[in-house]
Amino acid sequence: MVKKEGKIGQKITELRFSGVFDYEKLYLAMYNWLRSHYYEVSETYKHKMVATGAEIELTFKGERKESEFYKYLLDVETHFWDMVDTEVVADGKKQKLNKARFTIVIKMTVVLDYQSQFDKSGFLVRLFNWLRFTIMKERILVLWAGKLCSEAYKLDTKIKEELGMYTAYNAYS
Amino acid sequence: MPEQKLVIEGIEIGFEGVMNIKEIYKILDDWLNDNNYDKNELVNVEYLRPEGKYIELVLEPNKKVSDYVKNIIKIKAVAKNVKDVEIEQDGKKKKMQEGNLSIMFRGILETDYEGRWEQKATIFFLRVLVDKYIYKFYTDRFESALAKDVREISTQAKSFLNLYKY
Repeated sequence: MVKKEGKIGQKITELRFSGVFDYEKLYLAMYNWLRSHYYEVSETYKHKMVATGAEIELTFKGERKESEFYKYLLDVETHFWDMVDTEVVADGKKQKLNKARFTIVIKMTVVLDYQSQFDKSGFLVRLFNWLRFTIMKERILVLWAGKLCSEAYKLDTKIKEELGMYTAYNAYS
Repeated sequence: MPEQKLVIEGIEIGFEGVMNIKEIYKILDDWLNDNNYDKNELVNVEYLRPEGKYIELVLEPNKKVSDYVKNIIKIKAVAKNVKDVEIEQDGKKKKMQEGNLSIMFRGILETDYEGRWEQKATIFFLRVLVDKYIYKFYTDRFESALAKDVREISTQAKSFLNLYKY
């Protein structure tokens, strides 16, 4: 049986951060960005308390159907360790923030033929693979995957801005 | 597996003093975008430490120059003991950073990145022959173009850092 190669995906970036930040603002920034870009968002959340603070695993899975043939998946996986509340004085005002170390991984995937129209026979699978690697190759890689890649970098920049990172810039914007 | 050849290495920039990290990142990112490289930011680290911030950035931008050859520039930037400082420039206050920065550049030429010449042992053997005797002329040209790109991006960063005189 011929295997259908209908997914193009890659890890976009991995942010590692340690310091003071606003967890609520970060959460809202990620969620609102996905919603404002018309992604349907599903969320998983795991919380564990240990002696050094909270350990949190939060994942957003964004999904957006672009047409009847392809859809975008944009996943944000976060893992926080040793998260505690802290009070910081900024501009003469007391602020309640959070302190932790964490990683944020952004992954993108373009799913082709998500309605499985080409799964019905071996011939259709072969036809799909032929289209995917010849006639439609440039369109899929440059236009479709390129668009999702630029969106993923915009989300990455938004997260960096929220964290006040120096590298909060991307040439796509 | 695609074959990778190290074309250029040993380009390293070291800097100690006042700089603008955001601008340096912007210069690298803009150059990659202008020259049609996919940024491919592998890791971006920012840790707050008592002596200052530790920042590490690993980029592996790549550009497909043909169906067979791909340019990869490996960039690793590490900034240590980074502290925010305010300086006055033309009567205006500007937020800058002080610390130690080092950036390393390497250029790698990847051939057969789609793995099409590896399906059978005979085809793989044929590929080695083609690479060595027929395609070599083209590969040499790609190598020099990649080396030029690596020198250009490193020169951009170096020139920018040399602008700082505080």
